[in-house]
Amino acid sequence: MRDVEVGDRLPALVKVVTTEQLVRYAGAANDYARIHYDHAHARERGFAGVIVHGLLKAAFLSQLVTQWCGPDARVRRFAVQYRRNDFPAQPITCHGRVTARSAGSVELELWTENPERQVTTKGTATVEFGPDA
Amino acid sequence: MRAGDTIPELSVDAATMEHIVRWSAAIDDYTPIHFDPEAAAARGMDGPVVNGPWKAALLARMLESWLDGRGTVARLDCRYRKPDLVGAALTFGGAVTAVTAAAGHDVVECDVWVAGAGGRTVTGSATVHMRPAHDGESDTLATERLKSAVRLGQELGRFTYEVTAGDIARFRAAVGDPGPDTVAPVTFYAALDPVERRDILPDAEVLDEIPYARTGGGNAFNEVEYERPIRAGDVITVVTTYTDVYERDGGSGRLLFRVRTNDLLDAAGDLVARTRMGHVMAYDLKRRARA
Amino acid sequence: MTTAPARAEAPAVPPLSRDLRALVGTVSAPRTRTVLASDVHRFRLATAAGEGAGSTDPAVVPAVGSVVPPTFFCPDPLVAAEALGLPRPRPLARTIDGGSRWEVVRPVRVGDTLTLVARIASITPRTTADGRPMVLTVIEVIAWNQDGHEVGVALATSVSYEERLP
Repeated sequence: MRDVEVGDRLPALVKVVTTEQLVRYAGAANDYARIHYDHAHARERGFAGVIVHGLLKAAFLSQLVTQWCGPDARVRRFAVQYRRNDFPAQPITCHGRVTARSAGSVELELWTENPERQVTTKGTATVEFGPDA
Repeated sequence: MRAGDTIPELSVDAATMEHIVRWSAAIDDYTPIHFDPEAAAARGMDGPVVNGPWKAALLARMLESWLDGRGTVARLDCRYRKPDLVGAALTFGGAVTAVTAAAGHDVVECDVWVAGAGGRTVTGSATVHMRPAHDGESDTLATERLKSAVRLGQELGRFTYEVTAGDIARFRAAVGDPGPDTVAPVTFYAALDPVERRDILPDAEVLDEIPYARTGGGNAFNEVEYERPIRAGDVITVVTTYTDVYERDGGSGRLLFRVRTNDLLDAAGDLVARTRMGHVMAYDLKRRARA
Repeated sequence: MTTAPARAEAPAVPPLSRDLRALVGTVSAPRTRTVLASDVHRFRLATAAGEGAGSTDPAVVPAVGSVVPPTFFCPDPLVAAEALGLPRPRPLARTIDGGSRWEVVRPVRVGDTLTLVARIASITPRTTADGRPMVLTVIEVIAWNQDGHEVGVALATSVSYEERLP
């Protein structure tokens, strides 16, 4: 990680969510809000269909970070804001960029894009590196 | 509001045949003892009698008038002790027997009764949830009551969860983030949030009563700061505090924001992580809600 | 527990017949109906008090989404139970409505769809104060809204009793 520079892009991560995954996530996170698995309910609320949990997209962005920084680093801070909804069966592309660095830590800007290249989630993270990183 | 306070009485000069006929139509029941003198006599009555549940409905109306839109009738319990004849003058009354404070409203227990010619023909009790007299003007979405319901600024509750390797493995499988089941991924804290898990729902009643159509909403933002990663075997106590409740106009209508922080403590009481969860709900003030 | 003072001819509470006992727990078929503004309006007119039951002012017709009166979801639980096909035991000479109870769990609004189910919750033998046999039947009606949330429970006590001798 000595070679990390401000402006570096993280290798993009592409995720496609199935409705089964939405159900698994509901169980794993104990979040049973119906907007994520009940199509009739989602349509009643004005959506084309069920929407992806914001925190599932956050999980994707955190995976983007941890895959990049490796096991010797620790995510100290991780924050996301949800701008637009994402839907199953459509690729969600996770991006990141280094915005600052110091001796032991790096600041990242993160975002997800939908197939129309619109930003659906924005986030930031602070990653701290061990002495060997 | 104190025990002993009387509820403003409701008077019916005469429980007329028109009341009976309208009630029969409203409940779609035409039992003749309520309007046929012969049928009433055959059942041992001195004349057609007023329906007990009609009298109960008027007791409910008395309570609603008293509440004047500032609360709900949660329970009404009536015993029909003596019949009232059609034509009787009836008085509906009540008195407060106990008041207990709850989140955002008072729980008021009352005795209620109906008095006819020969004394009380119906006795019973009721529970009403009553809000304080002042409600903020800029409070279209019941923000003041919500703040009270979530005990804004104070610890709302603490919940303890055991983190197992199985939980971590299931979470990793659900998000598609392979890795050891001994260390939880960064967003695993979401699985330990008492509000997402519905282990605590302090504002459900207040939100249910917002009369406008809900047009959308969900999590607005989530933040976490870790002192150390969450690990399998951790016993995490989550302390939830609501820090902000506010409303403003937004693109999709009137927006209601609720922000809470969770402190995640390990078994020794040391801070593992602190999270901030922001939730937004959008309402269309021009449309009424469907429950 | 203190024993009641002995009375010269303390009447025994007659046990329930097997037929009656078998009725306990009977559940009706469910029925679903929409909460119509016109029905709520009719209810409000029927329960108008001093201001005159004859008022037909159209301006007071309730709006979609407005909350209905507390007992509206089941105005008469005995009538509702019978309409749902639940048998109402009438084992003795006279049977009357002894009382009703409503618990409002969630607000019900014009436009909601309610599903009601009735159940015989209990049948209990008793005696009147002057020793005549009496049977109390508690009938329970539960209502759910279109989201499956319970909105209210209504109970009624049907009292069946032997006539007083002239």
